[in-house]
Amino acid sequence: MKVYSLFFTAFGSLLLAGIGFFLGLSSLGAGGLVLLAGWIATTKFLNGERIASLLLALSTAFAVTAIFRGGNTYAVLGALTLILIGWEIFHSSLAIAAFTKEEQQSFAKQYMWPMLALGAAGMLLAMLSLQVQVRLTFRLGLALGLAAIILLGLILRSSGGRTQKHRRR
Amino acid sequence: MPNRGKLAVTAGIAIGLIALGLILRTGQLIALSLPFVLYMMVFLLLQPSSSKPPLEIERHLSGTRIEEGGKIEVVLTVVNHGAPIPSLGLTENFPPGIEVTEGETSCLRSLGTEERITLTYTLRSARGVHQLPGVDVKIWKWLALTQQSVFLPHEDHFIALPQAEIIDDIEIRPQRTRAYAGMVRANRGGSGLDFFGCRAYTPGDDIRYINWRTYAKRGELVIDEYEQERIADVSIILDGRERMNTREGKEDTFTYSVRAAACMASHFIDQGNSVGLLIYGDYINWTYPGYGKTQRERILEALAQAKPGYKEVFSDLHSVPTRLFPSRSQLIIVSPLAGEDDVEVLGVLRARGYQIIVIIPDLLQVQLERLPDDENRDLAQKIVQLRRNFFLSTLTRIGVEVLVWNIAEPLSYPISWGLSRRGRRLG
Repeated sequence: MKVYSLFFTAFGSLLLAGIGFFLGLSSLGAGGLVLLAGWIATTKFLNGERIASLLLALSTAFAVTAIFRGGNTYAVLGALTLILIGWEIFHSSLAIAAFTKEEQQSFAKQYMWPMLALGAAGMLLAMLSLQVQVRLTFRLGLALGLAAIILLGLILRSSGGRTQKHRRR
Repeated sequence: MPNRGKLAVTAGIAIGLIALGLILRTGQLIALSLPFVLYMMVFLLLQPSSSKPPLEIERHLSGTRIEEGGKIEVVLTVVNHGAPIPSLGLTENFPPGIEVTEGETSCLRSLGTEERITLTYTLRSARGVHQLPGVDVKIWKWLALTQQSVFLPHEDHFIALPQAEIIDDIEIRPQRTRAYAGMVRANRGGSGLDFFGCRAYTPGDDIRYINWRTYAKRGELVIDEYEQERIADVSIILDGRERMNTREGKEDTFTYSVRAAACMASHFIDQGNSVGLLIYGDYINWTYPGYGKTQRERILEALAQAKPGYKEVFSDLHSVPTRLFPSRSQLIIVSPLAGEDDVEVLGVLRARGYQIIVIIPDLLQVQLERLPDDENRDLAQKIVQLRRNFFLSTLTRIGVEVLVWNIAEPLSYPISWGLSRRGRRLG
């Protein structure tokens, strides 16, 4: 299952590197290649969940930079979605690492297509949103910002509460 | 990573992108956050319930008592009494000291309602009381974004008793024996096999034992006496002091001490003697003396659970509670004795009339084999042997029988030569 994870993350990183080189920004391109190396090292040797999350955050930062430097939004979006899918598969692969190869393959087959569908849906949603023009006033911006913070708080609270219940048990 | 961590990472990135997009008024960044937002929403929708899955576990063990290093077959069955589970990962938990030799101890598959999974495997275990605590269960729902990890407790115990070799008959000569007939020569005249002496005939004596040759010579009736054979009290002292436990790689002297103690206990119980066991180390673990198979099981169970330990008060043998041992009985001390203090204690025990056999498990050969073959090794070997010879001669002088057991060989070899009747006769 790690092969699939590596495939998606490597493809996404290469896409980011390609965007960087295409824009003539060698630092961004080199950053994409460093990301690729990081994903290969994490998937093949390190098996670190925290490192993978750090790489996901770094990939997002590269994607943001690429957009600011005039990179193609769809390409950047595609790259980031691929990395997100790869990151998720990487976590699943660690969770099932104790089982046999056959079982892992069967698990991968069962979940690969729904994961791809979810990624495609996320990308489609983003592409659709790029077609929508919303006039962002200060009030709307403030309201959306507050809503986002409240949403984050609620999410963390709900998941934290569940974890504590598990611990108490 | 637990569900919470994954959610926190994606939520952090999504909200960061949205916030940055709003601050910089860049819609593309908000669009970039949408795959993360969708991921989070699906993640939250598929959050696992906090209730335990309705899974029933059964475990069948082929036995609950095995010999150290022996095998035990386990059949684990899990039945799902709830809704179908798209992906279920089962992993059996094992404490240290257990090795799986055959079969599967984990599986990952879907499980329908009332469907069952059966895992069959064989375990090999080290000495000790082992507990199989339960099963780790992981459940993935649709998309496998969230994982429910539950530990389902289901305890089963089994005991791995120490190996007890079959050994030659050991000759012991305690000063005091019990009244019942046994295998230990009692140093008293009566009925037996070995000639003991003669005495004047007294009315009531069996005429079969009259020595007719003496009667022919002297005209006096003299009775031949044979040495009585009775049962004896045997106390085994297992030295469990951590500082005495020498380790070399995976080998340690305590494991062999336990085996030697098990071997001695089995042997003397089989001969009908009353046997007690004292494990001296972390605390005083005393198994009261007794006879028969039940006593053997009691002693083997105590030995199965024995561990070396350290307590300052038991750092030398001065605290051995001698009042537990029947007076002038036979003591068998299994210990890699090392200190002068120990010799002093053995001298005191001898002075009180105890007959003592000391069995010393010896790791020296194993240690030497692992050293490079050079002058230093030879010198080290000579120094160790000189020191040991001096130590053993001191013990022999005070009347203690010493048996050094090279652990690379079976225990029966040195016993055959050193402690058995045949070995003693051969010198």
